[in-house]
This record gives sequence, structure tokens and C-alpha cells, in this order.
Amino acid sequence: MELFHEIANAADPLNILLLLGTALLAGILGGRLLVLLKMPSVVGYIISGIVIGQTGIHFIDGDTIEMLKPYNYFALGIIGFLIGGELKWEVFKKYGKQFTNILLFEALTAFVAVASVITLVGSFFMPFPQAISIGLVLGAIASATAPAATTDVLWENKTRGPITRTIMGLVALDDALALILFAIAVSVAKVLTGNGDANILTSIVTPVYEMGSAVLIGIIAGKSLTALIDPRAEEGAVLRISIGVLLVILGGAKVIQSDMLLAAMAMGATLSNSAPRKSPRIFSAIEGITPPVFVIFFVLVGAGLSVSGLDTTALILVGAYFLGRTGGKMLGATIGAKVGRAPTSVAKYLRYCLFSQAGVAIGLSIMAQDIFQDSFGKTIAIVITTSTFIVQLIGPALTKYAVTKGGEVGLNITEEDLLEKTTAGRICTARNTITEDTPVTKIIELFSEDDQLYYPVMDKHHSVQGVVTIQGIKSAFLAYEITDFLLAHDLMEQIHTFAAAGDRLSDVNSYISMDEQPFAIILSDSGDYAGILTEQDIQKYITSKITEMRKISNNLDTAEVTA
Amino acid sequence: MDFSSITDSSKVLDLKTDTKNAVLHEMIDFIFSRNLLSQDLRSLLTEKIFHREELLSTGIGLNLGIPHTRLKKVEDPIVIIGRAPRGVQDYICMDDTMVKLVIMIILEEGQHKKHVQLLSKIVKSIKEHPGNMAKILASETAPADVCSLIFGE
Repeated sequence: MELFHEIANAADPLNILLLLGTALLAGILGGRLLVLLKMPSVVGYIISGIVIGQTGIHFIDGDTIEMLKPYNYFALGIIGFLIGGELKWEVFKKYGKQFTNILLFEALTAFVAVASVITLVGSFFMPFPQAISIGLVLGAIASATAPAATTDVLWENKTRGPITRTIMGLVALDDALALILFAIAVSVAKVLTGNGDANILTSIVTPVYEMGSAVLIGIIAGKSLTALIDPRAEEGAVLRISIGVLLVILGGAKVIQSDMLLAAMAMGATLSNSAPRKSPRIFSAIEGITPPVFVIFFVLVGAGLSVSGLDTTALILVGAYFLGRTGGKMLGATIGAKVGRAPTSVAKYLRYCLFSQAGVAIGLSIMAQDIFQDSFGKTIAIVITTSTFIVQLIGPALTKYAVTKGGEVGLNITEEDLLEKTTAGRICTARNTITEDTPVTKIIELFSEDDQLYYPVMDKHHSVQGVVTIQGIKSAFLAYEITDFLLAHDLMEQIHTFAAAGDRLSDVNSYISMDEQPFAIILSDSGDYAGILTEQDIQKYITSKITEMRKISNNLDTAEVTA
Repeated sequence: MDFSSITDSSKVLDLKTDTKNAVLHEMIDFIFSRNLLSQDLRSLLTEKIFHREELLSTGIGLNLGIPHTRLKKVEDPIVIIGRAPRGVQDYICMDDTMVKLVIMIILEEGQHKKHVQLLSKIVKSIKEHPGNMAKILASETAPADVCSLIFGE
């Protein structure tokens, strides 16, 4: 262990570079390993941090973590900024009362439930003001839901419907609510634990000041950024200016003792709503740098954890937090859905989809650890990190259960999905065939009788030798002198594309679309003629399938809530 | 389609054999002896010509037989005119006349439209000028004149 620590301390001027580089690479490795185990990569980042940090080999020690606090603030600022960017007025308008009810109920019920349970349980181990403080802070963090782990499940399972739509809106917005609740909770907790001034007036004014000033400077920063960014500016310039303004706002918030995260969030929300055309470029530029920033951030979170802090008290609090949050989220989601008259499936199954918690929760716990470092800060970080592992194990599975029961799996199918997953044999039609010796007079009759455009020509062994097309037969119309003489054999065209029944539509489609013959002959496994597949058949199938899925999804929307 | 240059006098032959199979083989041999097609296509051409005959005789009528097929790797149309003034014994047309003039046509595989046009032209030419058949079959008619009698405008 000491060896790694010595290595880390070697070549002092380059120390931070070595540590950050190691953190990044270790995080990437840990993330990839966890993804292979079907777990969110963020858990892998934290585990990597635990391994190289204070619990593990001490490659990153406590002093380094302390020194890198500004980096944490920067990462959290980006999180807050991006969350703010999701707060679009049009989203609220679009989703309406139903959505707002669910959002408020699930987030606030979780907050109240966790705050109550933690306060109750904590009061057995610590002074009551401290128990309430921990309860409030953990309650605020409990209201957040991790977007990535949840939306990954939705994306993988191609879900579509009211549950999916509600989740997609909630997971971004309840983080915003969590940030607001956190700001309030921290302000109150400071007063209760004596971190702030115990004066009653100050205890009311301080939170108002911290949040109000944060929102104000956030709005100013958002407007400034809008003005500073030229719509014609290249990507690099957009990124430089955005990062610059974000850093100034984070640092400025710290100076005036404002809530940093709230300021960043307000900046994002202002930008998103006041510059709807410019803002996507700015958010996209910032998102572009998030992967390495967040990997290092979470590795540092893990590095700062000390497993020795996971004592009996912490374990009990973990249990209380988990139960309180689970119960609060489930109850709140159900009540919110019923009050907002959401579709039946939302009322029944949404409650299983809000378990996951990761980035924002851990980020807020790091903030709390810093603010309350002399009291319960470490406990908050331990509880949240430990419970994150638990909920990340069960959250995605429960989300999948919910959308499956809700009938939403597979409804968000795209054209690409259908082309990849459907085989040629499934949709080809075994159209009428003709033999080589079919006279042209008979062929003309066949074309006039039905709407088939291509007639496969079979030999006496029932193998396809060619195809007569409506285009091909046109030449025979004027050749009345030889009508009695011409056969299918004389008019047939060679087939350019043969495909097996088991071939994917995507492959067959690509062959056909590159060829002047807009069809393929499909053969069964034994090589026999199975049918023809035309470009039109493929398009028709895709359109009808997507329409069918949308119809099912729309029906889910209109299913009324039962009382 | 320009029929006047579809064939030339070098592709006119007086048939020596008098049965259908033998005539078809004689004309196929002629094609390869003149290197009009690559030698490796001989068995394929033979197979395809005879296969077409199995489906329906190419004795179209008016003493005219038009064995034909399409092959890959054929660059220009190959039209061979075979004269058998005494008739090919077992090569009977749809109108019960005996085939005396055999025009073998080989085109590129994708040229089914040209194929039909060519067949149509030949038949039309003979039908509209019935007196030409006797001239075509007469030994004193030069090969060049044979071509222009059939394909001339």
C-alpha cells in the first residue's frame, strides 16, 4: 500500500497529472467491467476510486482529495447546469397537470418519508437537532432519481407509452427539485447544527439569501452567456466561453456564499428558456467534455470513501434511508398519478421505476460532506454511496418489470430496429409463379387479372430461373406477329438478388436498393422458392408495424385511471 | 434497333445436314469455328438452344425456324442464317410447313427487349414479303443479298 502512495508522491510537480490520469484510466476500466455485469458504469467508477483511494491502495490520499475539491465543484456545476437545461417551460406545458402532480408527489413524499424516518432512527444515536439535519439533507437527496440507469433500460427495451414518457420527464426534473430541496435543507441544517448563525431572523433570511442570490446570479449568467455566444461561432469558441462563464459563476457563488448548484441550475434554465435556438449548441458543447470530467469525479468520490466509516450507525441509516426512500417514492408516485388522473398503467407501475439513484445524489452528498465536514458530512456520503450500490442493483430490473407489465416494451420500434430484427422469410409473399413454357398471351392475362408486378419463372424442377416483370412484358405488346411463339422463357429477366428466408431485412433491403431490380427472390432453408420480397413490401411492413405500435401506445395513454 | 448491321454475309451458310438436331449442332459448330463466341461457352449454348426447343418448337411458320437464346458474356448480337432449301425433316412449324430457313439468334442475357424486337422484325419481314423466301433459299442469291432481304428496310 505504501508503495503506491510513494509512487503517487514521486515527481511532485507532476503529481496531480499522474493522479488524474490514473483516476481516469482506472475509472474507465472499472466502468467497462461493471457494464459487462449489466450494471451502470458509474458504480464501476466509484469502485475504482475505492480501490485506488483511502480504503484501498492509498494511491489517492485524503490530502489530494481535499486539494481537488474545486474540481468536484466544477463537475457538480456542470451537473447542475445540464439539469437546469432540462427545465423548459414548454415541457411543463406539454405534460401538464398530470405530470406536475406526479413530480411533486413522488419527490416531496420521498423527501418527507426519508426526513421523517432518518430523524426518528437517528435520534437514537445522536442529538435531535443533528438527527433532523441529517434527515432533511438525506430527504432532499432522496428525491433525486438517476436518469442514466433508468433511461438505459427504456432505450434497450424500446419502450414507448405513458410510463416511459412520464419517467423521461421525471428523472430530469426531480433532480432539479432535489437541488432546490437540498439548498433549503442545507440552510436549515446549518442553523440547527450551529454551522450558521443561531439567530432566528438569520435562520430565515440565510436560506432565502442563499437560494435567492443563486437564482439571481444564475439568471444573469444565463443571459450573459446568451449575449456572448455568436450563433456563427465555431464549436471550440462556444465551449470556451461556456466553461468560462460557468467557472466564474461557481466561483462567484462561493464568494458571496450563494448556493453554487442552484446558481448553475438557474443559469442552465435561463439559457434553455431564453435562447431555445442557441442553447442546444451550448449544452451540446458542455456535454462533450462531461465523460472524462464525470469519470474522474466519481473516482474521486470513491477514493474519498473510507469503509471504516461504514459502522453500525451508518448501516442502520442506510437501511432507514433505503426503506424511507422506497416507500416515499412508491407512495408519492401512486398518489400523484391518481390525483393527476394519469393512465392506469402509470398509476400501477410508475412506482417501480424511480429507484435508481447515482450521479446527482452522490454529487449532493459530496457537497454535504464538504459543508458539514465537522459533523455528519462523512455519514451522509457513506449512506448515499452505499445505498446507491443497492438501488443500482435493483433499480434497472424493477424499471424493466414495470414497463413490461405496463405493456410498453417494444413499442418504440424504429425503422432500423425492424430492419435488423425481421427476417426476409417472415414478410415475403409466395406470389404466383409461372412455368418457362407459359405463353405470353397467358402472361398478359395474368397481369391484367391481379396486381402482381413480378412473376417468378420456374423450370420443371421447381427452381426459379428468372422473373417476368410488367416492364418486361411491354415489349411483347407490339410484337403481335410472334405472340403465339413467345414464352415466359423468352421474356424473363435474370434475378439479381437471391436471399435466404433467414436473412435480415436490413441486408436484403440494402441489396435491393443498390440494384435496378427492386425485389429479391427468397429461398427457404432447403433452397426452394419461398416468395418474393419487394422494396414496397418492406416499406409497407415497416409503416404498418410502426403504426400498430403507436396505436397500442396511444391506447395506453387513453386508458383511464381507476379510482 | 438498327437491323441492317445485325448480321453480315459471313454469317450465312448453306446447311449440309437435314435433321433438326444436326442442323442446330451444325450452326453451333459454325459459331465456334468462326470464334464468334468464346469456346468455353459451347456446352452452355448447346444446352440453352436445345432447352428452348423442348419448351416449344421454334418453327414459327412460313418455313421459318428461329432457334434463339440469351447468354452472359455476349457483347454483340449473333445472328446466323442457315439455308436448307430441301427442308429440315423433323423441324416442323406451327403452320405444319417444314423449316427451310433457320435463323439462330444469340443475344446478351439482359437484352430481352432487343430479343423480342429482333424476332418480331424477322417474322414481319418474311410475312410481309412472302415472295422473298424463295429468293432467300435460291442458291444463286448471294449471302449479302440474303441479309438485306431479311433485314433490309
